[in-house]
Amino acid sequence: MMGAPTFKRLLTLVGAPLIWIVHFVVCYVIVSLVCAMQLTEARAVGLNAAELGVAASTVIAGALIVGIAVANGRRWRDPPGPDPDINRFFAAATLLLCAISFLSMLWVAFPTSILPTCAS
Amino acid sequence: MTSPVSPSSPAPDRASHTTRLQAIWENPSGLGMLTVVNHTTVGLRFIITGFIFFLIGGILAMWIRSQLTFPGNDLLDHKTYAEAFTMHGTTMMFFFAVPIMEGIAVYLLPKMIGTRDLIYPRLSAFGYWCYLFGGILLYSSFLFDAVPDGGWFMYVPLNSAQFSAGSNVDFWLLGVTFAEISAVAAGVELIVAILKTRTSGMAINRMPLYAWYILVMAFMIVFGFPPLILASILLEIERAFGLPFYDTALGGDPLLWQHLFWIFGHPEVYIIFLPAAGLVTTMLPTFARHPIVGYNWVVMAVIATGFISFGLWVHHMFAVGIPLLSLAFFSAASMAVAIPTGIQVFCWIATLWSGRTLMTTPMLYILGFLFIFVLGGLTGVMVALVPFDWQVHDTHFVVAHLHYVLFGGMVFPMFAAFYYWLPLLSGREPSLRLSRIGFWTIFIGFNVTFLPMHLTGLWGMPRRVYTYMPELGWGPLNFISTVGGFVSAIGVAILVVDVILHFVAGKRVKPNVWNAGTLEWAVPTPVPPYNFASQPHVDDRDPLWKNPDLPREIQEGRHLLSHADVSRREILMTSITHAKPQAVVILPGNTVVPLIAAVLTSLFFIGFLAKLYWLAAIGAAASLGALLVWAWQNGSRHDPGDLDAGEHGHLPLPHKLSLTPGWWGTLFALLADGTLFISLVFAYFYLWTVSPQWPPAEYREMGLGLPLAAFAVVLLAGLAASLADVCIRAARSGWAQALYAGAAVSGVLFIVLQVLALQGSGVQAKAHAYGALIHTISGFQIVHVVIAIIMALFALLRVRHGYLHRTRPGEGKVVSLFWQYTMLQWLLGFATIHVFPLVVGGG
Repeated sequence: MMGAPTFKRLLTLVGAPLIWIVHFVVCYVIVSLVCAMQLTEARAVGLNAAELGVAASTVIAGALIVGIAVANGRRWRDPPGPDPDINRFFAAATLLLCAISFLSMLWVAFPTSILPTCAS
Repeated sequence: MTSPVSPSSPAPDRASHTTRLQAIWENPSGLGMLTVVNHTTVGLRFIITGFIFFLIGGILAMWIRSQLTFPGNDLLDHKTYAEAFTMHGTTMMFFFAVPIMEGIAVYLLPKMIGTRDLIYPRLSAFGYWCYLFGGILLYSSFLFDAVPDGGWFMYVPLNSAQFSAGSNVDFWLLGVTFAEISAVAAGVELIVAILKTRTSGMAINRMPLYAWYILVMAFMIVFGFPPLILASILLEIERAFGLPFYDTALGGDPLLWQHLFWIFGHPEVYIIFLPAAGLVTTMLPTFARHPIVGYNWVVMAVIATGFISFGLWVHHMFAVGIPLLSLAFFSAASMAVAIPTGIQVFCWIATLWSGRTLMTTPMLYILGFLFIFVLGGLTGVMVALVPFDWQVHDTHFVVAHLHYVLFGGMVFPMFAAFYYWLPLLSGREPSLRLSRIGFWTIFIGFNVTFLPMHLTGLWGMPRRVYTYMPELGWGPLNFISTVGGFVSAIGVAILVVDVILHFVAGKRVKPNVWNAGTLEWAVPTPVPPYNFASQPHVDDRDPLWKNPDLPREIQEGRHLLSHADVSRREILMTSITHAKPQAVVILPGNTVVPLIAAVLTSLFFIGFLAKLYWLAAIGAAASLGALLVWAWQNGSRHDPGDLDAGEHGHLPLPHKLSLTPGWWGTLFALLADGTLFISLVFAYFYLWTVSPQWPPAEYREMGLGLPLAAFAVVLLAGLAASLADVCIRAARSGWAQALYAGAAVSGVLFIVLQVLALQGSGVQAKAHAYGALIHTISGFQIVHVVIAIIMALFALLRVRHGYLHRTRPGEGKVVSLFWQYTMLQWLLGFATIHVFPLVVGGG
């Protein structure tokens, strides 16, 4: 039977890469929609709709990944509960996944700052 | 954690116990072999069949190479050449690489996680038959002179009815889809096996890394295969019935096919590579004589690869005119995926560095893999760069790259695995000299074939063109590649001879010949059909290194499930993280039902292929009937009480649990099903973004009344099925039966109302992609409701006959899960086809 703690642990483990893929799809969809609907004219704070959308989703996704990393950093240093080995393993794997997801997320969002939005 | 055994534990009467186990688990002979469901046999069938397809695909490769040897060669005409490269790619990707990797997992995984069989043995057998029949169906195209010739990725419009009117494409679509049933079935089964049937004590942080690799691969199958299945279904519907999805003139888009194909296609590469890397990660520590360095890092890398590989698909579409920024996202992700792959490579190198490596034949293949795969990975980073990709797109550079990745990344580890695990299978070892000659022949042949091909591609030679002019200067390089191709083929022939000969002439070896640490080496040779006389309790990642006496203890019945009165096939069901025993699962024995179900399913595919739709309908109905018989065989009408599990005391049978093996299987099958539906919804929204007018002007007046009523009715039906589950637990079987009947009636009402809504709307299915999608999405839901109705009626009968009962409530939970999914699916479907047009079309 899968209790709530198991479900939470497994979800936390894949939380960061899940956020990565959602962020990735959101960036792709935002750029596709903005270009399909030709919405690049309107600007705010010097950025068009696609750039704003990518920036906002990157900030939100980044904050969520950092949040997961901080919580699991604590668990890694001081694993709670009666199974320190398992908890430390989950925390370590989660931390590593946070690191790679965070880097990959920034790497994916980065081209938005140097490329024109809808050029092909 | 303490071991459940002690040296003083009294062992049961061993001889009689293993004799009983043998009698219970034994494979029948003669025609009875068609009924075998045991994972060892089914796994071997997958491996042997997959290898035969590899040889067939290899012969096709030799055709291709022979034709390209000289400029202007006329050995094959362009049509035959197109057939050869189409069938070569299709065979290698769908009928060799994925099934053989699944077959190796089906064979090895239960042994490695210390259990006696996979959790759904009949599904394993059904999957194998579907795979075999799918392959036969595809290859029967040679008999009808209708061999698929449109490339292994079947792009439209080339493969639409307009440009491929014959049944060539139908053979591909139906044969491949048939075989994909097998892939998804194995995916679901492997997930549940890894999560729920690891032996006692094999907590998630002690799980063999191979199990992590297979777990991620299986999830990737569950999420990766449905987009291709959906794309194939849509293309077949378009070709057979004229509903437009890919036809630009009618609101469709050929790029929809490319998106769906590659959303599957790129993860597919990792679906092939990850299990092969898992084999390497299992073998390499044995030869380094050192545990893997960086267990946590490897786990992270495998999971990260699983996710990132879903963000790469557009790098196959860099040349189709997508905005540069979008391409850059995929280019970045394609480079990012090199990080987790690199981490694995460094963990392997660090393990070799830390140990004292034995240079055996499997180790040679592993080093060959590392050399070739790393080179393929580097050219992969090159083609991830958009400007470079534009230069080499559709040239032989890409052919060279993909073969470095796939042959290096999958075939070399597979050959290493053959040599590594053959002694477990046969108790003998192959010839050292022949195996090394084989390795060097394949290694040199491979590199002679594909290294020059990078240059051939850079000099501009396109793929899929059957010949070239002499003045282009590609002749010498092609000649070298062809020589290399035949050298590789000779190497494979040496390997085949070596493997066959070793069964008769190989030197007998001691058990655990490599001194490995993983549990499969605790199984005696020849492998008994029950694997373990008692299911081991483990407390280490390398249990045989920690306790070399473990095989003897297992054989002496000092571990779990060794009670003397065993009379059925029993395995442990354990908790996900700690692998604590929760229940004893009684597995079904040998049965012909999976074969019959697969034969009847093939009627459906043959009917479709022959355009005999009545035959297809009969096939669908009959295979459904076989599946109902299959389901009826489960469970029990009485409670036999708890079973003796040894040290862990008595454990219940799983149908007393609320989450039965069937529930877990249904859950993961529904994930695949949900992905199929989301792919369909993606198709809708994708065509909306490319269509100048959505919905088309003539379809603006679609009423909401009937669809809303249908929606309400399906919610009611789902609620009734869920309440019935509650009633069963509360011992109100009369109410439960009434509620199941109510759910079934409401389901029928939903179908009537939705059909009336579609008819009343005046939206034509064939006039525009919009109408095609509305009808397809509705049809998809109707199929689900039909299945849900059958499940409700089935549950009603099960309550009436005493299988579904307060003390045995598991099936009720499965039925309610399916109904809840059907409700959720329609929430999305209803919002997409009935609400969204009002929002964008002004109603």
